[in-house]
Amino acid sequence: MTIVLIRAFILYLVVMFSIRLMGKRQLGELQPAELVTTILISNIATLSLEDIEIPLLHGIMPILALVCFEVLVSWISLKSVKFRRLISGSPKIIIRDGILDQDMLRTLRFSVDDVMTALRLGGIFSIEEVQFAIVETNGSVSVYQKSADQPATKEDVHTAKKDCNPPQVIIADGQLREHALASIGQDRKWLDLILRNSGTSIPEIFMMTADQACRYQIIKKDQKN
Amino acid sequence: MNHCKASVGILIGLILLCISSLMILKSKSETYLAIIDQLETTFQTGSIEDTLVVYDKLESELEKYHNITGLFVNGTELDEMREIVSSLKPMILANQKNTSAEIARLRMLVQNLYEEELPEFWNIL
Repeated sequence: MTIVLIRAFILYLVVMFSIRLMGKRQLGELQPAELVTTILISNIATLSLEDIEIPLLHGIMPILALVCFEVLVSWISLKSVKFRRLISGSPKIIIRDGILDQDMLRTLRFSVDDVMTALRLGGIFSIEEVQFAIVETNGSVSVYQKSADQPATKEDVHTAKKDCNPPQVIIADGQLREHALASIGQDRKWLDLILRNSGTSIPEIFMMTADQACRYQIIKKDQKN
Repeated sequence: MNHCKASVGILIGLILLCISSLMILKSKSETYLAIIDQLETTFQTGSIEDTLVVYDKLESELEKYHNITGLFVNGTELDEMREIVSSLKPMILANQKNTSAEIARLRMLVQNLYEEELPEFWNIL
């Protein structure tokens, strides 16, 4: 039992390291190669956990090797379009100017229900509204609406303002984040002034956010905390 | 790019580990096979005392062999070797005829253990 526990801990570390090595892409939508690697890693880890007759190295080695292959394949894919097409395929257009490409649907083995589900998830209920619908290499469907059916933007109604970065968390749980303060182009003097005017101090603040336009919000800690 | 460099580094490390594991297995197997041959020869001469001395050597070497090769070889085969070695002593003491056959089986197991680890066509497939 103790051996299983220790092996589980070691394998957990190896799998965590492997997932980190594969990068953040892994956590989002999976490409075919990434999906294969993920399934294989989970199977290998399970086998090594279950059977203590199998040396731990027989589990660790293929996991690391698969992840390394995956990282190298994605790096080569980044450098070579041909290789990328070979590994991940290419996006396919299934609706063009409101007309379904039935041959492409058959090729992709996509049913009409699949298409309608994807459109509805994008807030579209009629194929006629669609300028382009593209099946991406990870199987998701991207939809571009016809101009007449697109919602009006602020620019369309001439109310667009200057682009502004989202507010940053300057103080979290009584801790100042210097880099966040710098990222909104302010310094400690500005912060001290704000805090003095608000009659508070950094340790008393639960959260403070501010943006580049110097708009800020302060949430003080509850008294019981 | 850092991930790529790390991957290449890990792959090189894994290849080196594979090569060194083969070399260790080869060297350990050769040492062990030499003791098995010595046991066989001594047993053929008919001296039980001398055979038992070699047997003790074989038994202690098995522990070292098991500890090292157990890192990269399936435990089932090593357990089978242990089983044969433990059954040899009473057979030697009783001067049984099938002792040679058991020694030959042990030799075959040790040889196979190394040969099965070699990256050869039939092993890979």
